[in-house]
Amino acid sequence: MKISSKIEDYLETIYRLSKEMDTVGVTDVAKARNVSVPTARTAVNRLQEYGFLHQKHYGKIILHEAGKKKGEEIYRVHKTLRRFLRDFLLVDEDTAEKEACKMEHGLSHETLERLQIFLRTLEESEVCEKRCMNKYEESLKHLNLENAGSEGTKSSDSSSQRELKTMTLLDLKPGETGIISKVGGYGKLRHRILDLGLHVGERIAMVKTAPLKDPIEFSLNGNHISLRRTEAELIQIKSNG
Amino acid sequence: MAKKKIRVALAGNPNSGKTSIFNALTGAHQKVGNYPGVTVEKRVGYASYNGYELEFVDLPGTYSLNAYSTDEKVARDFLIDFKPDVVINVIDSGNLERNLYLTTQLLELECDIIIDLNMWDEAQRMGIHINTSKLSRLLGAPIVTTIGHRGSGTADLLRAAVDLVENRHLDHRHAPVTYGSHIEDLVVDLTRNIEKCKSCELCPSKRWLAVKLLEGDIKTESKFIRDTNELDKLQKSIRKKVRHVKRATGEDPEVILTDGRYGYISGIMKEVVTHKTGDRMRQSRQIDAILTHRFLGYPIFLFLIWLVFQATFVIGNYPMEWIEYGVSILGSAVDNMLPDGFINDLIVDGAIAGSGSVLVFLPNIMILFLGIAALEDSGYMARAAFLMDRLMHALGLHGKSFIPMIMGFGCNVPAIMATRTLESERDRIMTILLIPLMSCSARLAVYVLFAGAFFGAMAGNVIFAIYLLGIAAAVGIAQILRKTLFRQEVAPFVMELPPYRIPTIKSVVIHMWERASIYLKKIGGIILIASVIIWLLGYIPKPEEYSQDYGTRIENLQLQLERAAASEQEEQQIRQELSDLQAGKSSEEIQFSYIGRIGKGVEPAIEPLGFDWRLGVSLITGFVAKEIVISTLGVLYQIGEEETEESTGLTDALRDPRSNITPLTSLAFMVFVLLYTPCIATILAIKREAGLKIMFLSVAYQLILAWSMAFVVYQGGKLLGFS
Repeated sequence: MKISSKIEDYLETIYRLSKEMDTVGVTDVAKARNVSVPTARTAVNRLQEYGFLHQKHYGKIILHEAGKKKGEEIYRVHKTLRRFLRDFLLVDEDTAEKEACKMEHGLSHETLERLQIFLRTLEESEVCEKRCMNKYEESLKHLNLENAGSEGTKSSDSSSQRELKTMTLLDLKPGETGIISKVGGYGKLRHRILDLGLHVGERIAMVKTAPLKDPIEFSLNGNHISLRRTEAELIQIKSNG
Repeated sequence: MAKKKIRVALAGNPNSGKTSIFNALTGAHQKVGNYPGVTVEKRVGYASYNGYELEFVDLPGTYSLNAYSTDEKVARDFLIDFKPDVVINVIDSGNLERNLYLTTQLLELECDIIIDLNMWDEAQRMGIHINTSKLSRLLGAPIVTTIGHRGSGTADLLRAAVDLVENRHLDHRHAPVTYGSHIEDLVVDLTRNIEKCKSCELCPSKRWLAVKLLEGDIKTESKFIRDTNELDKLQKSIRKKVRHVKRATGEDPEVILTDGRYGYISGIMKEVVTHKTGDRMRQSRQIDAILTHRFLGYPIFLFLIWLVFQATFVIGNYPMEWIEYGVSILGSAVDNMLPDGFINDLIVDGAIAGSGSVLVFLPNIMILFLGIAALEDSGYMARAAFLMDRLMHALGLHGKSFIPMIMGFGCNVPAIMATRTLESERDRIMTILLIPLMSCSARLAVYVLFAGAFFGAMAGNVIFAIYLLGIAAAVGIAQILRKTLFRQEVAPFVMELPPYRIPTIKSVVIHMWERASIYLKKIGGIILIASVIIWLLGYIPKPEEYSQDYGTRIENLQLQLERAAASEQEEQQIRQELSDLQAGKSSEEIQFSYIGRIGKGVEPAIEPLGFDWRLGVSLITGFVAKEIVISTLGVLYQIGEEETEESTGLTDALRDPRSNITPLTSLAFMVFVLLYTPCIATILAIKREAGLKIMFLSVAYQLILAWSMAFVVYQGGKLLGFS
């Protein structure tokens, strides 16, 4: 039995609503899907034809077992996709919601299953997740920068993206100071950085570089600390004149 | 009545003067002891006070108690597994804020702590005033002020420790750090869940464990939550919440937790500290203006290294000679006392000579560690790493690897022991594996002999090239190691450059003595046993028949000498003949012995290198020490002992066509000597510092490397038409 994706969406909505409220009516469905009541009614009628539900008086909808099952399945797929888009691709919440709706119909059962397993694996090995995600975030930044560079004339959008290029400790010259705004990295390295007192809000001054330009000596709070260039780059600062 | 015992641990940041407090507390009553289950050695000392026997354990200096570095793990595991009655938290008073970070973690772990505000005088000088009674109230811990290097305040510390144990029930402390609202709820929640958890009863503090779980400290998790199902459940329950926190604040929980701790500390700082002036680094910055100067930095560094090197290996040479002399005197004295025979040989050539080979390293080790302790205590070691890190990092090593590697040119044994200064296990083991490629001074004697015999005026250049080959091999092996066994990143260089301080003689001497005693107790004994075994392998079995009747002929000649009627010229001739006969006899004996048989056994393996069995035997005895290569060759090429001393006899014998050694063979031989295992003492130092597996790895890779390089030299040279 093949049902159109639009109708599937309605089933999903009804399933979701049925979890949230005691009784679901056609008007609720129309409101949730942002369509007129007659449009919603047509869709509900179709679903009734498929045998997923039946309507009582006053438009109250009762889901059948089959409908519940199907609805749950679609909803689960939706959640997985949304999670993938939002938590892994770091797409913003609204877009994730919208695009998950579009994607959920086009993917085969097998692909979805694999995606689920993939996400679970990634989540379960925390170290791996952190590493991958940090790298990914880095690349995103570069991508944004590149986009901003090539479409330099695009006004508001690109300027907000350009702010992504924040200052790091590397940008300080001898004698200059900044205030730490973010500590990047992960695991051992990050702990070491934090343990030595480099944490958000702390004022830090660049003292000098080693003769071969690497590592660099910084001073903060009466302590002198040296970092390699690659490590200094992980620490973002706000300049304070 | 037996004394009541109190176990006290000393915890504190690096450079907080913890060790000087330890020394002041325990004086000479200390030893380096291994607590079971922990590989890193800890110093243990004793003191008694008021009817109590106090055992002090000096934990490694750490900034924090995560399980990320070995030192931190050791400190943390000790606190948890051995539950010391009291923890003295040594703090650099001039750097209170950063030092209190560790304190917050000790409190969270629910340790009974005493705050020791050390270097009190320095803080006073800088105009820092700390309201100790208020600090004590805020932290819920007694406070003692001390001046470690003068030893003042230690009696107060002892009293405070005993006091704390006697009145423990009076004040029960709670973990004082509360984190921001986002994460505090999570911590409380998780603590409750952990309390329900059956498999984590061993954990001393549930709240602490909750914090560790949130920080994603995998090692801690698996240590305390034995039941993997329960661990899974806990992890699952927090993973979602952690995501929420991450989305809400844009930060990882570990960052928020750190911020929470620092927030708590800065609150305390506002309450208890009044700052007048004070920049504890001012003087150090002025010194650094020169010591890490763009142009002056390296020359000064090289000069200091040169100084330590010279002191170790030039000055150290004198006591070495005395030791050798003393051993030979002892040897001949015993030789004269005992009748000839196996027992005599065993004691003189085996045991006494073996002890000699243990003792000769001692002056080197003591002087080198005197220098290293002085560099370390003064704060210069961190600068040396700062200067060298760029170069060493390019090789996949850490800036701190440089000094041990350079020391390897003098002697590998103290160099390997000096890798202790490296914090990261990976960097330390890689450095240990590379040090034997630094050509030590004992190998130089072999080069001098062979290069002198076969390369004449070019000898100097050849020897120089051999040294360079060693360095090139180290660079190459480093690249291979980091692409195979040591793929992890080089340890971060996030490192403190501590203020310069004048090292105290006491602490430098204690450090030196510590290394020396480790060497004698833990390594020396095994070296002795191993050298005796190798000696024995060269000694037995004795041939039943000789090619000629050496015994009678030698006796006859000796009789002739005793009569001494002959002219001086004749006497010379007899002596010559006598030593030739003795050499011939030992040569036959060594051929017949196990070592000789092994040498002949390996001949097929070394034939492609152009070596015959005699060179093979000398390489095998060379496992004991490289000096022995020469004396073995002396025996095998039938040169009397007197002549090997001057070495011309051996040079001639090697050059003699009958020796089968060509310049090309000698070059291959030198390459082999450079690259294979330096000596038993080195092997055992590696075992001591890095374990059995790394020891075997080291021996194996060096043998393979030595063989292949010698093969390339010999066969390649032959192809190019050299001989």
